[in-house]
Amino acid sequence: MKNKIPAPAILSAHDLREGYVAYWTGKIWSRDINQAKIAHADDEIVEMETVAASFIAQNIIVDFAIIPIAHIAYKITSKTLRESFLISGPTIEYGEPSIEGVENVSI
Amino acid sequence: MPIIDKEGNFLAVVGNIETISNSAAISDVMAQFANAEILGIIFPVHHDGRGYSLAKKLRCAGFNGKLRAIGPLIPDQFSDLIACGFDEIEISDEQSLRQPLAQWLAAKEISQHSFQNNNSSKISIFQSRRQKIAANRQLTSVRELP
Amino acid sequence: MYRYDEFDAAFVASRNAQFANQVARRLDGSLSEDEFRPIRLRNGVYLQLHAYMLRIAIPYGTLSAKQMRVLAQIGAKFDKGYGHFTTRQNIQFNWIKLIDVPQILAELAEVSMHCIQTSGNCIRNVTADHFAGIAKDEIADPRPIAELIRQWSTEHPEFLYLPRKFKIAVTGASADRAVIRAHDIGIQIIDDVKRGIGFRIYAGGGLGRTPVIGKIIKEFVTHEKLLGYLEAVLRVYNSEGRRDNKYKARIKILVNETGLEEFIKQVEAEYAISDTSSVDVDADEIARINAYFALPKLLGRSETKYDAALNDSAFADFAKYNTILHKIDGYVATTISLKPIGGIPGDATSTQMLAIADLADKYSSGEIRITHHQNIVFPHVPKDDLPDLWAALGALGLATANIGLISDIIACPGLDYCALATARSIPIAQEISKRFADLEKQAEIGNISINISGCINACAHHHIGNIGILGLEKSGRENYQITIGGDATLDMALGERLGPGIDAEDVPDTIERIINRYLHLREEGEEFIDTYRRLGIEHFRVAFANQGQILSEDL
Repeated sequence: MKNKIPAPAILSAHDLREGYVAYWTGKIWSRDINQAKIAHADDEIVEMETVAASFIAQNIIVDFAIIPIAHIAYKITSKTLRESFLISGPTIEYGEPSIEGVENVSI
Repeated sequence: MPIIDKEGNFLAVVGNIETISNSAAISDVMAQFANAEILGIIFPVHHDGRGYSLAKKLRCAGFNGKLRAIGPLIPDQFSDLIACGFDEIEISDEQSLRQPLAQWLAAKEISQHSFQNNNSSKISIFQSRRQKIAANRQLTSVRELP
Repeated sequence: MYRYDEFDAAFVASRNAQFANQVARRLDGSLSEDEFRPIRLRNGVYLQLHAYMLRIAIPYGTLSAKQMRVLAQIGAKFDKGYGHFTTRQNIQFNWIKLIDVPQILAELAEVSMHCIQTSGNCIRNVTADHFAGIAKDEIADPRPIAELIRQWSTEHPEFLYLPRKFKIAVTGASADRAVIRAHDIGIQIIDDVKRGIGFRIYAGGGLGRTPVIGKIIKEFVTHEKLLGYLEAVLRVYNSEGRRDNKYKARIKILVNETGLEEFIKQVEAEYAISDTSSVDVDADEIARINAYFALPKLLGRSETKYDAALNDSAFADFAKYNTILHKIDGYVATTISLKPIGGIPGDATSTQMLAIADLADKYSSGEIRITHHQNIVFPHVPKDDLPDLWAALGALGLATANIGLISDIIACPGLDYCALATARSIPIAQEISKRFADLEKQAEIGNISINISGCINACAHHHIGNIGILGLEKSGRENYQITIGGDATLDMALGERLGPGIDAEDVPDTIERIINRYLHLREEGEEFIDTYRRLGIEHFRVAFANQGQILSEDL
């Protein structure tokens, strides 16, 4: 039996073809966490599971997670350690060093 | 439950056959089924690889009947199952819809080259190399004849 | 180094076609994710925290300049311009798209590379001593053996659905630089007075949740019979290994639960009845493979430039810490540190990789090695070229003179990248590195290994680091356990836990206190591990417990 994820929560998954993390907005999958639909009640969370299963069956997403969140300074923040890094991306500077005057673009 | 043989034919289902679990002991199996015409080995899930070794051990122990792999197997396992000594595969109806015969045949053909041999009709890369070296030696020795 | 013959090339080409087909069948739903997952893993494709990761096989860590160039290009074209060299001598790219993988595999195949079996419950990359063929203490080159095992284990039809992953390492010198006793099978080449060259087989080693040091299961196997014997071991493991619990599924558990004597008996019984005719290798195949690993022609060179350059103390440090004497006079193997102070251990940018390829052509007969310490080796550098090489590396940020020293840290990617991680490891490595940036201080401390794992799977081998750091999660925060006294050589030892877990911020101070304690207690000529072995852990616990206190010299 899975642990019940407490509300409020959002739904994340990986795009099957490209692998990037996206969040369910209620209508589409967006890479912008601020567009994420927030489930406030248990039945909304159950509905998220159904949504995820349907998109998995359509071979659009893979490996979903329902992330319990809090709002800190108006930003959606994960309550679980692992998902906080999923949301933020790597906390280190990686890749080719930036060219002067051009900002390093993260995904 | 469709059955596919290693030549790529769908076989008619004719009654039930004797089956053994993939954790069966060789001595027990040979004691009971050494002369069986056909024996089925159950794969409870596709990623439980015990059946491959069991088939190999049965062949080493001298079992000459047909071996059938039974379970939720995928086309990509076909070639390897044959290489380990299986003659046939039995899958579910649902799978045969999702993975029709054409996919099984394509999967079998696509893995033509292998470093290992193990009962299959094709020879291993090690053996191909030996053959090539032997053939070259023959050529050289022919040239050296007076 | 090994070059594909027509059979190898055809094999890889057909496997690439197979995987492209499998990806297509995943995308159209013919294959479910459950069915596709073992296949995708067997082709090196992981799904990590942020993206798919692709792990490319670098067989026993040997790479040509041409291959390094292709890796650089893959990083630039398909990733974010960098790659990570791993503790099993492979490379991985963190931001790959699944739909790009077939094309990447095609480009790799053109330079005889692939990603086969770099993940999944199958036999993985066979690793070997990164100084193979070069080291003065070598008995026989382990690479031909590793290559033979690689071919035998590649897409072995019987062993693609093992209970769990299976790792093999080979050493051919009197010192073990391949960590064979921490592998599922470890192979030691020995030269027996009566029987000649043969192999001693260790089995059941492994780290992770249940660290175990490998034990001898066979004292001597001949070259011809080696693969047949390995097959017997794998067959027993495949049949009897536990499949009920992912954390109890490695061969180390099987050996432990069966008992060593009984396990050996089972392997011998299996070997006795097996038909090994298709894997027994004859003298022709042995000779054929051996021929690929002959040393390149290394002409005698003077050492005048080298000797003169030693007057520059920075160059002298580089020569001292980053090179070892080659079998051939006048040559050195040079280690390029991928551990710049404050940098990400094991990472290199595409720009750096391209430059490394060019430098390898110029200074190392086109040959490169990857070490399990996440560094790069140029195996055949003429000493007289070392000053120029050093200058060129300096311009690329690749001349840090710290090999074997405290800032040469092994760290896994950790929670910054890995879906399995419980804590971050890279920032910890960076902070420790910065704390010990001063090379004089590092020289004073001497040889010491720090290994940082971001979870219990121990991919950074923290159990066998002189200082091991394990990152866990405690009450929603990252929490780090320190062990000391690990040893990765043939005298393998597991580290002992120093105390309760600590916060990330406290790690650099704690390490510094441990080091100060060692410096205070050590005797002439002792390295960290020697002092620990002489005195035991209690002397170090004192340093650990003194949080926030400056340790007096009088203690």
